[in-house]
Amino acid sequence: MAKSDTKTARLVPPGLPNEPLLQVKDLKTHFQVPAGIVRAVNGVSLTLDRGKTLGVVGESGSGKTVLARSIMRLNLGDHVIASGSAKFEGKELLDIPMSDMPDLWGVEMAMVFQDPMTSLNPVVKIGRQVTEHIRHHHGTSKSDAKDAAIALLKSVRIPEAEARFNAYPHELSGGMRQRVSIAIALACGPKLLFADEPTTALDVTVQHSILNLLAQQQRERYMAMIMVTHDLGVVAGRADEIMVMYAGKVVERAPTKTLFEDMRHPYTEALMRSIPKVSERSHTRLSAIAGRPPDLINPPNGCSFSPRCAYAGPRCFEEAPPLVDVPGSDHQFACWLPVGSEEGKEAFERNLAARVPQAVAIAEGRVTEDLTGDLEQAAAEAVAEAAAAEEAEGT
Amino acid sequence: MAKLILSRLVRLILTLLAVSALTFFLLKQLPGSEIDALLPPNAPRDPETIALLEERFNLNDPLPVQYFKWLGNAVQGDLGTSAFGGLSVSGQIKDRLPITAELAFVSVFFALIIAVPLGIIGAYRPKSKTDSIISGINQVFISSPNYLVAAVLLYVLSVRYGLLPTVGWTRLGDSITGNLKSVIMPALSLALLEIAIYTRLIKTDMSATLQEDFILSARAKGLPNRYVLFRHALRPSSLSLITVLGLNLGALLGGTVVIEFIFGLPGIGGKLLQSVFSRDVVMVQGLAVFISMSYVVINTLIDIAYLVVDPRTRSRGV
Repeated sequence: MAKSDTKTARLVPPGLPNEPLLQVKDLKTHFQVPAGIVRAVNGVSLTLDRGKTLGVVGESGSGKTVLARSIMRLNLGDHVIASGSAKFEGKELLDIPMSDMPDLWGVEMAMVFQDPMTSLNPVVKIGRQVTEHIRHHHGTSKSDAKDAAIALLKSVRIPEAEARFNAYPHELSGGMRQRVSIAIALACGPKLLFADEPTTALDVTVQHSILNLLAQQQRERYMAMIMVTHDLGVVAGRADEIMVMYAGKVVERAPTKTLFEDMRHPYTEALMRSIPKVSERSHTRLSAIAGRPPDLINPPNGCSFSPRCAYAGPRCFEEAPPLVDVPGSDHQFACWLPVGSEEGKEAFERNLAARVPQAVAIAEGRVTEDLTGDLEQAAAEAVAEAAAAEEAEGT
Repeated sequence: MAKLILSRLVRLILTLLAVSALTFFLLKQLPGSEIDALLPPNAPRDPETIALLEERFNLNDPLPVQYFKWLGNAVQGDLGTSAFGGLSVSGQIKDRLPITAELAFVSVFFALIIAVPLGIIGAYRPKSKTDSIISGINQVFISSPNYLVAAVLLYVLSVRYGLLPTVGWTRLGDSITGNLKSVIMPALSLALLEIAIYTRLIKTDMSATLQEDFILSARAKGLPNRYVLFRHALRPSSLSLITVLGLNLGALLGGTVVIEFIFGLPGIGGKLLQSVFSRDVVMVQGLAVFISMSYVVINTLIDIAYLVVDPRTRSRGV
């Protein structure tokens, strides 16, 4: 492979239109449930060029999986309320009748699911699972589809592909199954691949090779990829751009390098801090993010991260921050008191002085798992007190 | 897989031995003299006849010897001869089994072709209008005893419109249409309850299967809904159905006393009932062994069906 074949040196093959492959604007997916409306994705916009990788990062419940499924329109059921716009090659996906969507699935866009233990049908042979959609979409004959499938299984480095063709999923290891899932997703040559936590269910030793495989396939096929993960480490070296989601909204977005060098949102920082570091002594306690993801039915007023944020000030509890540009760059974030700013530092000192638990936790490197109780209220009260004290001092 | 099937067959033979021994010894424990049971009530009870009977039924041998003699004959297809009219038990089974078996299989066939699609619709569109109608009808089916259904069918189809014969049986060899006409009503009477049960089973299992990740991933490949339902969801959803199907078939092959009686069908159930009333011990014993045998054989087939339907059971071993 030539040395120039790197991410940055990638060129658009001739003959392809120059418009972005995917343009999402203010996409919302709400679920109507008995308890109310779950705002799982609440106004997300993004743009993805051909052949590029976007990393979508967030905790469980941040809406990242629902976002991927919303773009593909895989959220099925009467309780799904979708609005906004998602244009794929200039075509509005949300306007396509649901009955026509299967024509796009597999062919134009495909998905690799999280858990290969459950995403393959246990009673259907691998071979049929890799060939059935090739045959359905392309009308390929059985023997041609088999040849294609075996070539595909070989390309995802399944040893003895011919023999595996007749195997059942339970006869393969987890890593092998995820390779099969990738082969299935790639079978009809999609232009856009969603990888929904493709390595979360796998052994650490296997994770790396699966990620490399995805990257290699993506490069060879000039395919765009949206990689959904809760682990910033997974997308660190692999995504062109990273989008951090919290409570169904984008809280920060930047080219990968920029994000790691100059993160602005406290949530991004918290995610970063939660990655265990090799340099730490063994048995160092993991730095968890205090509190739980927000209630998506009754989200808190103001910034949805404020109840868990170490930097939160009074404004954060009242007014939701808009997504704003860092001047002169393609870096955006949604925070009143961003990381690295003077205001942010002051807010943190103030919260620390008021013994706001999550600030104390950061300062002392202590785990806050025992603070999950009434954190929200405690934080709000502490911040309000601190602000009042400040004001009293000022006058 | 062949090994697993073989082990099932070995188990089948052992079970058959146990079942036949149990039936044999239990019937020997019945109160009253065996000679009394063997002789028709009005027959003379002189010592010669008794000695003859004891000789013929090996009654002077110890019990285990009696059993093995009986077993030896049974293996060769001779389940004994009834003292009532000298009918051979095997002959009776051979005459009557085709009727009972046809009735059983036709009713199960009716039930399956109706219940499977209904169950799938119910699972695919839960709480829809169609689903509530299906559930409503099923509720009626499940709470109607089959003799009631039989009576209604008889009234409507035979008495009112004269479409089908009321009673009796035309053998398949005599007339195909006649045979079909005589099987439809009894089979339907049996099928309605089965339809209700199978529909529920399929619906429940299918609803669970449709929540599985592999169904979403099959959809995400762009496969048509019908293909996903039948080729991906149905098989993993059919295990409970297969279990109940086996139990039902076993029961039906043992004869459906009430339905055979109502429609005047010369099946196994009717014979069993008649033999019990006339205290025809030899016949009862032969039929009982045959019926338990059908159960055991069917259940072995069901075990093998599991292996075919769910490949995971092949390596795990059930």
